[in-house]
Amino acid sequence: MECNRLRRYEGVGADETTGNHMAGADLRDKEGNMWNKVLRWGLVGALVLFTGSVVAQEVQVITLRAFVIGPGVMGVKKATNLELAADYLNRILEASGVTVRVQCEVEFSELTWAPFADKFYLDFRAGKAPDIVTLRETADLAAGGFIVPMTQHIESFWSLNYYDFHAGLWEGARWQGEIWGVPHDISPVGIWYRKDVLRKLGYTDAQIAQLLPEDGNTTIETLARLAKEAVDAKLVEYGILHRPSSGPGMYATLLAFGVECYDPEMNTLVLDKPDLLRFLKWHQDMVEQRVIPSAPPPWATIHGTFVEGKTFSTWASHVGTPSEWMAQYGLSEEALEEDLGFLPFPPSEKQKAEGLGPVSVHDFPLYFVTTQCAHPDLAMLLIMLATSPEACAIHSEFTLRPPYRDSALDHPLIKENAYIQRTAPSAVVVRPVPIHPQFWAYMGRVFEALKGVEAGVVTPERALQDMEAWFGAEIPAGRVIP
Amino acid sequence: MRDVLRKRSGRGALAFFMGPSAALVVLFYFVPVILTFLIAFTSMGRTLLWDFIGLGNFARLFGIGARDPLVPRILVNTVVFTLGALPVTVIGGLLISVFSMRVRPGAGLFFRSVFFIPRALPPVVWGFLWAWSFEGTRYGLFNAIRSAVGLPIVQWLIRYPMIIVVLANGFLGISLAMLVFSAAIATIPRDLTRAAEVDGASEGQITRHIILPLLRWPILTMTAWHLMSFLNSYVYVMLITGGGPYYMTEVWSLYAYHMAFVQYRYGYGAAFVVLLVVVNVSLLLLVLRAFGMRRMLTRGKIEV
Repeated sequence: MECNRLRRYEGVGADETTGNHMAGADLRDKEGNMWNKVLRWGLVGALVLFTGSVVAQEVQVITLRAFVIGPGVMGVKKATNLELAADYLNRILEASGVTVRVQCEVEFSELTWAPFADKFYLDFRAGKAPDIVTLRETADLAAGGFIVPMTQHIESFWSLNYYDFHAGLWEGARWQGEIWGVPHDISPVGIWYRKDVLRKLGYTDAQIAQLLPEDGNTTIETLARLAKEAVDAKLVEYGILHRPSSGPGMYATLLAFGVECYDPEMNTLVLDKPDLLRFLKWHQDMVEQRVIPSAPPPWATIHGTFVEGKTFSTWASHVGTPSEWMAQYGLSEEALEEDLGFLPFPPSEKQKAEGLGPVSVHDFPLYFVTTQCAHPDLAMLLIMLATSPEACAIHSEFTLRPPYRDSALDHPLIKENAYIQRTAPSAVVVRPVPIHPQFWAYMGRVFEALKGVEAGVVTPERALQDMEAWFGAEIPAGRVIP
Repeated sequence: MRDVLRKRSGRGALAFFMGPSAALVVLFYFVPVILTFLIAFTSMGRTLLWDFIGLGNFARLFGIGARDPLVPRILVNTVVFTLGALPVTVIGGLLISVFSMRVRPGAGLFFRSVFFIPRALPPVVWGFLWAWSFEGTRYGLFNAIRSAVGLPIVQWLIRYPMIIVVLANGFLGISLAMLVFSAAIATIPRDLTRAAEVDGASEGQITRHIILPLLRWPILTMTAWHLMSFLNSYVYVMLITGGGPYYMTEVWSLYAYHMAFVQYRYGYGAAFVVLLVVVNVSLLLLVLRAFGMRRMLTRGKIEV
């Protein structure tokens, strides 16, 4: 598809040149033997040929606009990688003798997701959508005709670029049989805990590594037991803090408890009553044991108390959060290496006995090509080059997030980065957030139930009953596990 | 001929003076209202597609077919919230006005100024002040005080969420009510209260038999005003409790906001708003009828 497009551009120049040749030949055929006329027309022909060659060499510049979201400054490389890609693409085009160049105008936004998405939809309705956009709500975008499918592009260039993306990432890009975008960022959620607190409790580093291994091969209950020890010993103010809002971290916790939320075969949401009840009861128990507070504190308190050592474990962060802690909360590199530990969400004991391994989740964004893009093939080529191993390593080095493709790990930019190399395996166990238009509405209800149970204003059984009523009304096609 | 010219010039003046403001009202009130009504009959979501679904949103809201299980609870919350905040505002404003107008002018002015401060604050500051004051950690104002004297912290926003949002809204409303009542009390001729004092009436008797009867109209006006104001209010609830815990403070307009701008169900959110507009207009008509709008507008209601 891309080759056809490039050939079409080549064809324009070739036709023009051929046409000029023919014009000159026709003129020569019509001339008599008079030298002056020959000379005159010869000069004219030469001039036409010269002009024709200049026209053929004239470069056509195609401008592609991209809206890229951070959110926050950490995502800036997602934008600059597109500019880098445009540079590489132009070099390839030039070397191929193609007279087309790409100019990429990238608008980088530090907005949060919601206003950024609103802006995109309004721009689209006004007919001013960018050619490339980074967003997350694949189902809405695809169903609403905002983006073009990229399956054919991915298949065409699989062995050139996409062959070593982590397999789970494509699951988060696929909807109704098509791949709609290209992953370009991954920050697996997981559990951060303080090793220094465990040392104060008397655990050696070897014991800590055994109890809470980096690959997450332990249980939620083990972590909770250690948190309780820390709280009871008054070493910390909070044992465990989870997110103050619904998000990927909560979905990961649900998975760790074996709560089935989505059926990919049927593309429908699932209300797994027994496991959801167990999830709610476990949290209720943790509140009663003072391991989890009855109301989750705000983000600043979660981050601040963890960095200060007043919280034993935070479930509200991901593998790349230390860059934020360093920038805003004064975390030192030494403390990061010595005192903090990270692991994917380990399964609960029941789930581990059933064979469930550690799990991580990320609601990662994709590079999409919009349906208002006049040159989708060029935009896709640009995206391909913006997700090269080099581009991936640039993003990873800047954000401290693991690379989303294997080969980037060997790139000189991050090969020697101990933190990235150490946390890279977490990316392999990442599962994407289900692509379903009502998924986050569902998670919102689950989170309200969790908050209500933790606050003690509703029992787990009643919360589940309310949830079932909502589920039945809002997701009639959903599946309920009694 | 002269009558025609006078009529024409009258119409011109009317258009000249009323035109710009009428245009603004049409543009910024009627057009959004009409759009909201139209959106209420669609399933419009974040992608802004106009898919008309007839009365589907209203059917769900009224529990016909697939019902929204939260609606009854939200309805009760709204009634409790409105009827709770209304007396705080009206009675609070009245008490402060009466008290501050009967003490020394300087002290009264100072007292009224203190209660006017909330109105001068940006809403978000007022909201966060309350949220911070009642935060359930030792960083919250009241818990910090309790911690300082050795008392355990209290999860205020979990144990008393509705009381807190009622007070936050009620206290804010006091400022306007107090202003109106104080202005009304100031217009009561001193002769009346002086005469009562000479006759040996106590402060309580003066208030009960002279001041309050003369404040009938301002009280009714403020009651009507704040009744509708609290029905539509959601900002402070959103800032302080977010509607929680577990929907305990989720009121009608906040739920509409959540539906439209958190869950991006613009159509469904608009249906809630449309119903609220209908309730508001009905209440307004009822109140105006009860008060006697014509009588209200014909002459001042304070001067005696």
